[in-house]
Amino acid sequence: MKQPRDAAEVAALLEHWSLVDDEAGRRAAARRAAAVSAGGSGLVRDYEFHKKPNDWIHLDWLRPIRFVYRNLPFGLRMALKKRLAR
Amino acid sequence: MVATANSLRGLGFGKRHWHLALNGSPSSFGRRIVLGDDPAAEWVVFVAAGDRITRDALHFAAEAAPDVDVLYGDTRHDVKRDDRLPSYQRRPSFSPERLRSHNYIGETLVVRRQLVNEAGGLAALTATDAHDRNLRLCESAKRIERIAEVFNVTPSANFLPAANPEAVTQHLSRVGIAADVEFDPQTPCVRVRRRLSRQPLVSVIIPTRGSSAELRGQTVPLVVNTVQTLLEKSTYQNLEFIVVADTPTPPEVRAELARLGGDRMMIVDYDQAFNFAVKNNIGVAHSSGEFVLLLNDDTEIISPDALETMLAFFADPTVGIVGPILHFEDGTIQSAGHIFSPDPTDMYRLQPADTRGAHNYVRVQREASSVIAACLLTSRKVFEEVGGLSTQFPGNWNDIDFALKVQQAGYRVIFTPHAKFFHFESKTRVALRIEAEVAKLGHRWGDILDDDPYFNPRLQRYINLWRSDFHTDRSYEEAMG
Repeated sequence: MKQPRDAAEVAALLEHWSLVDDEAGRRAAARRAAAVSAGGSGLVRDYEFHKKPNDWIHLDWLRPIRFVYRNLPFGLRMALKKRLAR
Repeated sequence: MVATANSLRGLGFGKRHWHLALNGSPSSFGRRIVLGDDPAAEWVVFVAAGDRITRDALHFAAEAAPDVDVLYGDTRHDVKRDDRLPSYQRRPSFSPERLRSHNYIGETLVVRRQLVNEAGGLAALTATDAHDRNLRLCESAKRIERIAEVFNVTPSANFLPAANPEAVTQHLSRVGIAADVEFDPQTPCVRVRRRLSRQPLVSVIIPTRGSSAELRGQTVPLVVNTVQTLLEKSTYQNLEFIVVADTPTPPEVRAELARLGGDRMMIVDYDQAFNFAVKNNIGVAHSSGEFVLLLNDDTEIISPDALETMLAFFADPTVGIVGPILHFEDGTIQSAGHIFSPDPTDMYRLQPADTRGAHNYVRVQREASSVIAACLLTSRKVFEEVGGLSTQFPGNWNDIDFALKVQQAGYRVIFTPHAKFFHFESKTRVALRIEAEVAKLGHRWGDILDDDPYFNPRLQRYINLWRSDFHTDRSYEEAMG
């Protein structure tokens, strides 16, 4: 069986990689900030996955509109849907 | 033909601007119209006869940056029945590996006139089929841009990309890739099987706790099964194994590993708190191979030539990571690469083993934004250049971060369905989401997570990929080009 390398040598390598990773992270964050700024937003916010910004259809105030839409005649509903899908 | 001509007239182009090229039988869809057959024209628009070109295609050409010389976009198919909605082929960003497998770009292409001349001229490019034409144009292009807008409206409901194996063979010869071409006419797609010119040492890094589980009715130590099957089934044997074992790993497991691996086996003790990234980094630091295979201890090789398939990609110095397709024990797909939606998602998870995917997505080799670290091959040079796996992600998304760092450094990440492994992960496992890790990942890569280049921003996000899209009544499965 092979013997593990010298612990000090491995520790030095891990430390070096950690510094390289920090630098890559800094570059990535700077690139993201530049992309966000280029997109017109001056504020780079903390990132979150769990929000669903395009889940507008389930907003509370849309409930009566959805109710009316659901009860439209089929042909009219499809025509409206087709129009909105374009 | 009339529809195409009318759409061109509608955009303000008279007859002197377009040229009809007959390709094959006049009654077939082989006819192509080439818009802008004027030596002074700046752009050439290729459009199939019968298709209607949209104003967007021309608008984005007019607005294109000076170094952009090829543009392509999405396709819409209008259904005549009133109760049916249009369907779309939404395309990802330029993926050269995928273009070698099939013509996912389609028939409509907007190209600078100068590039057309460099790629053989209008007459030659209209005399051939769209796959051959696109390969010729894209291999000469400086910058190819995908626009997530509809470029053409087609009467054809068949969105399956075509593939021309002869065109791929010629393309490989022109760009100097040593490979054999295999054609699957049923799908259809081309497999580019690169030739492996040498047999470098591959270090297999396996973090483990020495756990046992029931596989095919028998309780076995998972890590022993992983090593044993790799030794028995893989046709590539220039391997060394670095097993990073937690302190509680049973002595009998260690003994069995030592017996199996012999002088190719190294067991490194790990007594710190769990950190997947640290364990892998330690393994790589102890290894000496030119290439590094990060492998979970609950995996098993399926295709005997999986390592050769993955390794052969590295003849191209722009390749940084190659990932295989992973299957659960019952054969269903565990991961066919990642997609950011924006939550990183395993593509086609839990779908049947023979799934072709939208537009044969699962059958083709392609670029991906990330692949799962349960099994990925990278070179030591690339691993060291980006600082290995980031220890800031002890549990989740270290593979996402690693793949994005590798791409930031200028390399490509490749997914191949022709290398197959089992991943005996629990089907019901839900990754524990740690908000601090989410924030860190987003801090580095938030914009890419929000707009995965190998996805399409027009596709609905934040919903399971296989659920119906309430806007169009079409599933993403059908929409993803």
